[in-house]
Amino acid sequence: MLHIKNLHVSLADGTEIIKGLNLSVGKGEIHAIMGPNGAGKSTLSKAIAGHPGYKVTKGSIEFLGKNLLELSVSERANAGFFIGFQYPLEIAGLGNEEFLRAAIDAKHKALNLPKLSDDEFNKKLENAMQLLEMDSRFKERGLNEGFSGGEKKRNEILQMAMLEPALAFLDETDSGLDIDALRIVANGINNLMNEQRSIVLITHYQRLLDYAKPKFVHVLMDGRIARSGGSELALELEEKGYE
Amino acid sequence: MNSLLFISENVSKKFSLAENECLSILSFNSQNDLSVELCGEGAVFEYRSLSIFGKEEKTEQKIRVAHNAQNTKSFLFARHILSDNSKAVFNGIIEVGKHSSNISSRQLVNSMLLSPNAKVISKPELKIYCDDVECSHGNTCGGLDEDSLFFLQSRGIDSEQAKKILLQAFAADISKKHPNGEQVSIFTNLCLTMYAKEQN
Repeated sequence: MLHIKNLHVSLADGTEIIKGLNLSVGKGEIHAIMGPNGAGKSTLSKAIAGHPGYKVTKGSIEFLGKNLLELSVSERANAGFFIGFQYPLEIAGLGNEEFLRAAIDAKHKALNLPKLSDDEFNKKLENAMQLLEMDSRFKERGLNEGFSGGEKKRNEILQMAMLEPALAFLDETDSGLDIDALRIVANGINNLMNEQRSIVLITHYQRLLDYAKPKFVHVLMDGRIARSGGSELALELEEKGYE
Repeated sequence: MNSLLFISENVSKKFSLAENECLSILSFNSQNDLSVELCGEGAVFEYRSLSIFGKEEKTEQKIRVAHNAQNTKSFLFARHILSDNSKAVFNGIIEVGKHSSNISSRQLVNSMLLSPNAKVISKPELKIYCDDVECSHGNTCGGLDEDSLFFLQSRGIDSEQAKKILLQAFAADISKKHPNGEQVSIFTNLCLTMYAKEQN
């Protein structure tokens, strides 16, 4: 599904963060990427999403047979790539539901699908909100406006549930969550997993991986995948650290 | 509460508010020169203004509020969305007389400058001759937030639509608390659709 080869990514000031990274993700797989602070985990997901502040200087990203690097940010999203943000931002004045409606409509337009009726949309939203244990007040509120850290992360998974991407990179979705919120988020992730969909969890901790079990664990260090292994690798890292 | 709506007008007017009278004005793309006297105790004046201009357009607003009675309140809130070579001037003048106590007055001007040649001049003037006053004024100025644009695009919304959504969200705060807010959001929508089209 996703094939990243010899990827190099630099910041606008020329600092190279990703230095020759290779990664392949197959259909229906959960992967975990772990690694110390500053190793390039967030840079990797933002570069795949197409953030203008991160320049791909070398290498290739193939996603579902398409050259992802040729696509705009919104085209990448509509091709089925989703990024769950580490620090979800707030947009005052934009209602959460209004925003989700715009995103769903954009997806349907891009894929030449008929527009969802209000009933279909409402039903989909109800189901997604039930999954994330969010009450209906979250519909009317501004996007993440005044949400707690945990609510913002749940709202990210809500967006994922609505947009149904083929591949999601979830960047530290587990950080800042209390035990209940972690359970809700992990439950949401597990519910959304299926044979056609893949999820890459970027995390510092084993605890999320206890709920959402990865098939592969990768260690990202200094801009490259330093090691890969099965789910037992996460346990080893938790015990011994990265050194 | 009395409410007035100005849409694309040139309004030059004087108002005098009696005891507990409340006037709320919503202005869209209007050039106003208003003088408001809060003469009765408990009078409240609210002024909300949204200006969306481009090309060589210029607008100037002068709002004078005189707090001549105690326990009076005023609120001036203006937002500008300026592109091309457009220019907006906002002059909010607050006067609090010697014998007026327990006064609250707030003034806030937020401007979104979408081109390097767009200009805004915000001139708050406070003439206060009394101690028991709570007065504030704020002014912010900036462009579209790149991270917010990226976020919306990362959810599949193209850049034209993402810009429009962010500008609508910025404009929404002005009109949402006014009974005629719905009308203004229709005009806002039209203006921003035109703007987004011109950009692409």
